[in-house]
This record gives sequence, C-alpha cells and structure tokens, in this order.
Amino acid sequence: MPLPKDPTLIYTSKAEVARAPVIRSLLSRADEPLFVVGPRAVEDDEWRDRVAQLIRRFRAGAVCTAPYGGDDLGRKMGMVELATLLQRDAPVLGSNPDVVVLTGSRTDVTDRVLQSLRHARPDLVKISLNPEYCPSADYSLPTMDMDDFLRELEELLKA
Amino acid sequence: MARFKLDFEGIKIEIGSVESFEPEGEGPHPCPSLSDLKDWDRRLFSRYRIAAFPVCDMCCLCTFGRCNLAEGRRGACGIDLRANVARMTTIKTCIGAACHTSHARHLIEYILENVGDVEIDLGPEIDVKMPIFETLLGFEPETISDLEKGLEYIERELTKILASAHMGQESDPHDYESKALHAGMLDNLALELADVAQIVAFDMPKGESPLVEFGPFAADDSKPCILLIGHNVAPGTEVLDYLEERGLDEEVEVLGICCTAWDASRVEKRAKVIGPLSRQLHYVRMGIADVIILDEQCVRADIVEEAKEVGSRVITTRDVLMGGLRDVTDEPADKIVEKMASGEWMAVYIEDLEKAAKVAVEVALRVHEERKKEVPRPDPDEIKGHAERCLECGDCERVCPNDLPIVEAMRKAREGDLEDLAELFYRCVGCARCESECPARIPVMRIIEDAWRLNVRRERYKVRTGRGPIKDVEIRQVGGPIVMGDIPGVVAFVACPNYPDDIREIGRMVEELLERNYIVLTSGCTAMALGYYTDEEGRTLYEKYEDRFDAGCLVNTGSCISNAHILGACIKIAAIFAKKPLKGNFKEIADYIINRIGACGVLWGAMSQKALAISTGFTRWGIPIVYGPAGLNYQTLYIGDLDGDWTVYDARTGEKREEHCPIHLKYAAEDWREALVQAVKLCIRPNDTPQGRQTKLQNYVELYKKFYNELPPDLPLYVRDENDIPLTLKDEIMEYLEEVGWEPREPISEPTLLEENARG
Repeated sequence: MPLPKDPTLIYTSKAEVARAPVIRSLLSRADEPLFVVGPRAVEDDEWRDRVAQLIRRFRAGAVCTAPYGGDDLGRKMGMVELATLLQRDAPVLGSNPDVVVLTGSRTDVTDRVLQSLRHARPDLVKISLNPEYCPSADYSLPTMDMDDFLRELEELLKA
Repeated sequence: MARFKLDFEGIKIEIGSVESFEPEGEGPHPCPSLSDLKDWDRRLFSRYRIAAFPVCDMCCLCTFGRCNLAEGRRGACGIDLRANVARMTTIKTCIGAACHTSHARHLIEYILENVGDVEIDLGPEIDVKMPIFETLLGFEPETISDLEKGLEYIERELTKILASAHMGQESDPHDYESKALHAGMLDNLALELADVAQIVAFDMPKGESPLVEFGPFAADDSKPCILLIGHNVAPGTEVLDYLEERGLDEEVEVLGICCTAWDASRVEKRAKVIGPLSRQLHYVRMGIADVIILDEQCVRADIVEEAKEVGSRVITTRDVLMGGLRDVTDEPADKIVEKMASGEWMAVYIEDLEKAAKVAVEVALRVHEERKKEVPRPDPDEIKGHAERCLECGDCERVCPNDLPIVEAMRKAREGDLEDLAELFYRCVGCARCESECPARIPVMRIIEDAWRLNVRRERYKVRTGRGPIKDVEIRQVGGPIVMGDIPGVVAFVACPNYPDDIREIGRMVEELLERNYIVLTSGCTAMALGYYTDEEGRTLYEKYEDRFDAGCLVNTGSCISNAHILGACIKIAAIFAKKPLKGNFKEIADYIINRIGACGVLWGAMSQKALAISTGFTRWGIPIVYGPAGLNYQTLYIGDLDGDWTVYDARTGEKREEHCPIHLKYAAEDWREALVQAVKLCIRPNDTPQGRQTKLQNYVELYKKFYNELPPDLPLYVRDENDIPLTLKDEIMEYLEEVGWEPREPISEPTLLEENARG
C-alpha cells in the first residue's frame, strides 16, 4: 500500500502509483523531459549511476540541486530557484519542460516542490522517482526498499 | 490624547495614555502603520518573487469550509490558494510576534513591579541603546516605563494585521506578505524591548560575556537539580535570588534548556546551559531534574507526563502555558512543598514567581536523595530486547522528519552493536514521532538516547554565554570595512535546532566562515548546537575564536530575543558609521542595509513561528535569510526574479543601474554546503568597493568550486568590471566571462532603491 511520507498532510488528490513501464512510457512520449537530481541520489553511487544513464537514455535535460563534483547530472541550481522557474513556466536550460522527474531530494522537499507545481503548473507532468511514495506527484513509485528501488531504476532503463 | 496633569504643591497626579495610542516620536514615519511602509514592500516584491510552497490544499478557517483550493479553485469566500498561503504566513508570523510581545510585556511589567522603573543604561560603551526602537518609535527611551510605548505600538499594529486575516479582508498575496513583513518587523521590536529590559533589570552582560559549562553532563547530579525550560527568565531569576538569599548557591544546581538557559546563565554564570530545544525530551527522560520549572514557548506538550515517568516534579508559571494543572498560587508555600515532596501533587501551576521559586528549591532539596534511586539507567540488554521486537515495518522512518535509518540501526542493535543507534542521536531532532507511530510500541527515541548515553563519555563543553548588544566602539572599528566589503560579511546563525542532519554541521559552516574572516553571530538553540562541535583537543569554537564584533570572531548574543542585537548592529552601522538619523526613519535605514551592509541570516534548523517572525522581520530590513530544507514548510520564500526590477539609483547622480544583489531575500537550501555558498553570495552588496567585491567573490568562487567543482554560473551578475575579479582567479574567471559574453559595467557609488533619495 502506498503510504505518504508524512501522514499528517491533507491531500485533495493523490499521485497515481506507477511502476517502471508506465514511467518509461511517460518519459518516452515527453518532448522536453527534465530530471531534477537531489543530494540522496548524488551520494549513492548506484542511484547516481542509474540516474545518469536515464538522463542519457531519455535525452532529458537535467538539473542537479546537490553539491556534486561531476558533470553528468546536468546544470547545478538550487531546488527553490528551479522550482520558482518551473512555477511560472520560465525556460530551464533554454527549454520549457513538459515532464519533470524529481529524484533524490529529501522527501519533504520533493513533496513541497511537487505540491507547489500541482497548483501552479497543472499542465506539467510530475513524476517522483524515489524509494518513497510521494502523493503530490502525478505519478509516483510506491514505497519500497532500496534494493527494489534500484531494480526499478534498472527496469526503467530497459528498451 | 494629551496627558492630563494636575500639579499642586506636594501632590502630583498624572494620567497619560488612557484613551488611545498616539505616536509621539520624530522622523518621517514614527510608529509606521501598515500602509506607511507598503511602498517599500512593493519595491522589494518587484525584484523578489513570492514563491509559494503550500503545505495543505484546504482552507478550514471558517464554516464556509473546508474549501478545496487546489489547482486554481477558489474558496467559498473567493480566496485562491496563493493568497491563502500568504494569509497563513501572515497568521504564523503574527503568532511568533505575539509570543515575543507577550514575553516582553510580562518582563516589563514584572520588572516595573519588582525592580522598579530602571534607567536604560547599557554602560559607557553603548550610546545607541535601542536602535530598533528609535528607528520605529522615533524617540530614545530613557527608562523601562518608556518601553510600554513600544508595546502599545506593537499591540495596535498586530491587532490590525490579525484582523486582515479574517474572511472577506485581504485578497492579494502581496498585501498579505506585506503584512507578514510588518508583523516580522514588530516582532524585531518586541525582541529588543524584552532583551534590553532584562539586561538592565537583571544586570546581564553588556557587550562581553564569560565562558560557561554546557551539556547534560555539566550538571553535578549529586546535587539537587532544578531545570528551567522555555524562554522567560523571570522565574529563573527568582530561583537564583532565593538560593543566594538562603546561602544555597553551592547546594543546588540550576540548569536550563532552550533560551531560558542562556538568559539564566547571563544572570548568573553558575546556571548551566544543558542543551537546545531538540534535546528537551531526551534530557527530561534522563531524569536529571528533581524539579522542572516551565515558563513559556517551545515547551513540549507532553513534558508533564514525561517528567512524571522519572519522578521529576513540574511547576508551570505563566498563564500562556498552564499545562492543565491545578492552580495552587493561593495555597501556602509550605503546603505546596509538602504535597509535592510526598508525590501527591507531581505538577502544579504557580503564577506567583517568588512562591514558585521557593517551592522549587525546597522540593528539590527534599526529593533529591529519594529520586536518585528511581532514575532509570541505560541498560544494553534492555535496548537489545526492544530491538528484537522491531517488525522492520519502517513506519518510524516514514514519519521521521530526517529520514533517519532507524530500521538498520535496530537490526544492528539486535546483534548487540549499539553504535549506529547511538550515532542517530546527533541527527535526531527530538520530535518522538517514531515512538508515536511504532506498532510494536518500541520507545525508539528513548533507546537512541540510551545507546548514546552508553557510548558517550561524560563530556562537558565550554560555550560563551550571551553578551547582548554590540558595543558602539566595535561598530566604529568595523563599520567602514563592512560597508566597503573588506570584511566579507556578517553572518548570523540563529534559531531552532530542527536540523536536517547532524547537529554538528552548524559547526562546519561557522568554522569555514570564521576562517574566511566573516563576523559570525549566533544566538538561541543554534548557539548551543555550536557547543557540540569540537576540535581534536575537545575545544569548542567559542574557545578558539575571540568574542568580538570583528573579522574572524564569533559572538553569541544570547537567547532568541537577543537576535535584536544582530539586527541592531546593522542599524548601528547606519547610525554610527554613516551618521544616518534613526528616529522614525525605517525606509532609509532598511535601504542602507540592503545596499551596503553585507549581512545574512542562516536559520538552518528554523522550526517555530517565532523563527518565522524574526526572519521575516529581518528581510524587511534588507537582511537576506537562508533556511534549511524545513524552511519550505513556512510556505513562502522570496526568490530573486531576473526579470524583475533590479534598478538601483546612484544617490549622488540620479543615474539608474541594475545590480542583482542580494539575489534572494528568503531562501531554503537542501544541503549545508548549498546554504554556506548561498550565505556567502547573499553578503554581496551594490556598494562593495572593487577590493571588497574581490574578497567576497574570492570566497564565493572558492567555496562553489570546492563543493561543485566548477565556476558559479551566475558570476556575470556580480563582476562589474575587471577590478572586481580576485587576482588569483583572474585568468580562469576572465576566460569564463568572455565565453558567456559578459560586458563590464561601472560600479555604483551611492546605491539606493529610493528614487526620492536620488539627487541627480
């Protein structure tokens, strides 16, 4: 059963639980997908490696919101700076994304940002790619342990 | 109304302020109302976008509701989500400001009744005594009773702001945010009223302070212990007085948690600071206290029950926190002592502070020996037993605000390895939601704390207690270097301990800035968190760095009401260094701060409504704020909009330029390294001299490269011409600037946002 990270919050609608095939299909159909990569993904080698592959696999734009020495996770930008741009549909990296995937940020940050986008940008498809279910997204993986989560990312990479 | 005065020989009757509040001060805007400063707020919002991060989709404030405001809907009253989010920010800011105002009113009335109408004298080195008061009220207060004018002003304005939150009032998010800024500014005034009143009445330090002992093991638990929790020092002073009068100073330990701890140690060095708010439940459960005195603010609602578990007696003392307890204020003290010592009354409410102090001391003396036998000691087998009951459902992790890896630590504890569990202590914010959620009823937080107690040495740390105001002579020495940018910035680490990770990260940030010659100020629970960060020799930053308002020095101003002196220092730079008139002159002073004083606040663990009020007030004065990730839960941030109006006027020539600094006014960072880089960046000001800008950019670029391994992409915003580029980085930066098509521009000499102040 998908449980929200924080049971005290009131949501008027909840994210659809989606597994790799659905998310793959959403990303394949997107014109301008954008990956937003947070600190948890950066600090976990396996998570980071799979996300870097996903960015390439789906020819997506990417923003890394965490301190990171590498250059394979896109441009570095603070999460709130990025969220402010997305909220008003301003260009990010020169384009206006139609699908945004949040992965690796703290669960509360993911939730706050996606909820703000749910109101400000109902047109934007919002996906949470994290080991915890995030009700504020349009599509979210269910809560699962880390091994299952990494397997789900592997699944997503499949053609 | 004018004062009514009858003066006969030998008899003087004076009645004043009986009907209504009237501003009496000088200057363009004494006692500014909501509308007086609205244009300043609009000016700020023309460059900083209000970014909304709603926590809840619903509005439940009236019986029209609850209304679903999600995805463009409007409520039954017509309000939309953005306005409602701003309304909630306004309400929360009012709650914070009301707390400090009620605290200030209690202290001032208590002082007038018990100490007298004391002269406001902060010593020979401080002439500008109450810069916030003077700027807002338009006159300089002379005695404590003058401060009541400040309280009247705040109460009038706060009432209006709260009225605006009623249904059918404001509808525009900017107007609501403007009211939040107004409430924040009033809060800042309340801080100053409360802290200056207590400094002069209780003879607290005035610009310098001693090192005191810190940590739970600073307490000598062989003695009876009285633990003060909260923020209002009045009950603590009564306890210290009673002990002194009875010659019991050395017999009884007086300990404190949260801001009342700082203030008690400012009254009497012997009072020990044992920990921040986040350790409240841990240390109460450790059973250190024979008697706990609660005053007000940030006290856990379950503290009475938890204290009972370990046999600690509790006395609540303030009518804002009565705890549902029996009111025994009118009972004889001896009877209360008898009943509490016997355990018949484990917790009571005593509003008379003198009586509360007497009861606390006498009960502590009576129950200490017996209680020592009762207090549970940590037992590794018991921890293992609890861990064996863990179902590994992960519910504890799901509700943990910091995603702590509790399940893995439980697995290891089951095998007898308690190290992971003990290490969680430094990352735990003490909310105990894990315990509330656990289906197996495992006391998760308690065993984390027990594991820590088994692993940790009985360490004591040295921290510097609150020194209160910054001295005028210090301002004279550093005013120029700060305004020119030669001192790269003044960064204040303040507020609550709701840290997103290890409590010691605060120390990492502060040490990095001290090494880079920033002036670092601190206060409240964050000043305590710094006490946990030690070097290899066990020295804290308070021992390593000097207590001066100067480059590379660390100053603890005190409790959260002492934040007034942080803002006060910025205002005093305008008054003393730039000779700006303060009286009733908010806009000019705020304009000076935002354009010339490289100051920034970091509220890494901000949690309370008070922290929101303090920080929101600071932003109106032009001091940017960086929150930790939990800051997103405050729901609105002020993020720089590059498409906004960044016009800065040259006051001398009237010329217009665009200067994008400070780039944000209220920001939330996900990671401490991001917060550190932002804090350094937010100290950049239009007024920086080329040399000053070089120093600031050197710090910004070096830190950015250290954490991100590349040059900051927004460098073109801050490099005005080649003279701004740090020499050691010149080639690299020039190459980058040329690549992105940067064009040099002339620095501005007297920047102002106020068009009316530009001569030309």
